[in-house]
Amino acid sequence: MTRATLRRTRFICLGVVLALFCSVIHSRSVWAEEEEEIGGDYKDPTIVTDDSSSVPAGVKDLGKEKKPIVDPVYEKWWFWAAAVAVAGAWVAVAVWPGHQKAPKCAGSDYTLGCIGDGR
Amino acid sequence: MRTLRFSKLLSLGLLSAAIGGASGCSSDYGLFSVHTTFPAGNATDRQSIEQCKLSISDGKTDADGNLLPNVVEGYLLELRKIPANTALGYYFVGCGGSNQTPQDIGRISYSTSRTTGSLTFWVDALDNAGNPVWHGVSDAQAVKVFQTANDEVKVEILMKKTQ
Repeated sequence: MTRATLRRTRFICLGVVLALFCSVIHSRSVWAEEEEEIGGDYKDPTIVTDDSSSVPAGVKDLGKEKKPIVDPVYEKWWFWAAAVAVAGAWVAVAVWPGHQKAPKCAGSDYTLGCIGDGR
Repeated sequence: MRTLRFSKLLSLGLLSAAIGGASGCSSDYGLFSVHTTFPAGNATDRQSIEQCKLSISDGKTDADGNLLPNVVEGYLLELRKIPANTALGYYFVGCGGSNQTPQDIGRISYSTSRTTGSLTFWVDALDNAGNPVWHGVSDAQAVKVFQTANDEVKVEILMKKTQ
C-alpha cells in the first residue's frame, strides 16, 4: 500500500463516518419536531382522569358490570343435601375405624398370642 | 345443564373417593407366624433369663448390610402356663424367672397393615440387670398380602448366647 492509497482510504473512511454522524443528527432533529407537533409529554392512554374525554379500549367500569346473582346454588335443595351427605360421611369416617380386623388366630398354635395391626 | 349436573356428581364422587382413600379403607394385612427356640441342651444356660423382648424392624439395612435399629414394634414374650395333656398338666411358653424359660419359647402371630417391603424380627433375652444374655434374629421377611392360610409367613428364630 502506497502512501497515496493510504491517504485516500483514510479520506474515504472519514467521509463515511461523517456521513453517518450527519444522518443520525438529522434523524434526531426530525423526531424532536414530530414530538413537538404531537404535544410534548407522553401520557399513558390507560389512565382515566377527570380531563379524559374518552374511555380507552380495554378499560372496564367494573361497577357498571356487576350482575345480580340469579338462581344461586345455595337455594337448591341438592346443594344442602350434598353438603349434609359430605359432612356426614366425614364424621362417619372419623368415628369408625378405618381398618377392618385382621384375621383371627387360627387354632391353638399361637401360644404367645396374636399381636399387631387390626387386633 | 346436563353436563353441569354430571360434573357436580363427578365432583362428589371424587370427593367421596378421596375421603375413603385418606381414611385407609383397605383391609389388607400381612401375617407372620414367629417361632422362637433356644438350642436344645442344658437348661441351666437359660436360668439367668428374666424376660424376652420381641422387636420388629422394617428391615432396612445400612451400606454394610447391618440391620438398622428402626424398630416399628416391640413386645414382651411373657411367661405363660398352657394347659396340656402331660404329666404336669401344663407347660410353659415365653420367658420368665425361676428357671422357667423353656427351650421352645412358643409361637406368636403378628399382623401388619403394611403390604409391601420386608420386616425383620429379633428377640433379646435379658437377665435381671437388663443385660442381653441371648439374642436371635431372623432374615428379612418380605411382607405378603394375606388371602389364604398359605400367605402367612413362617419366621424361625434360633437364639444364640451373647456371653
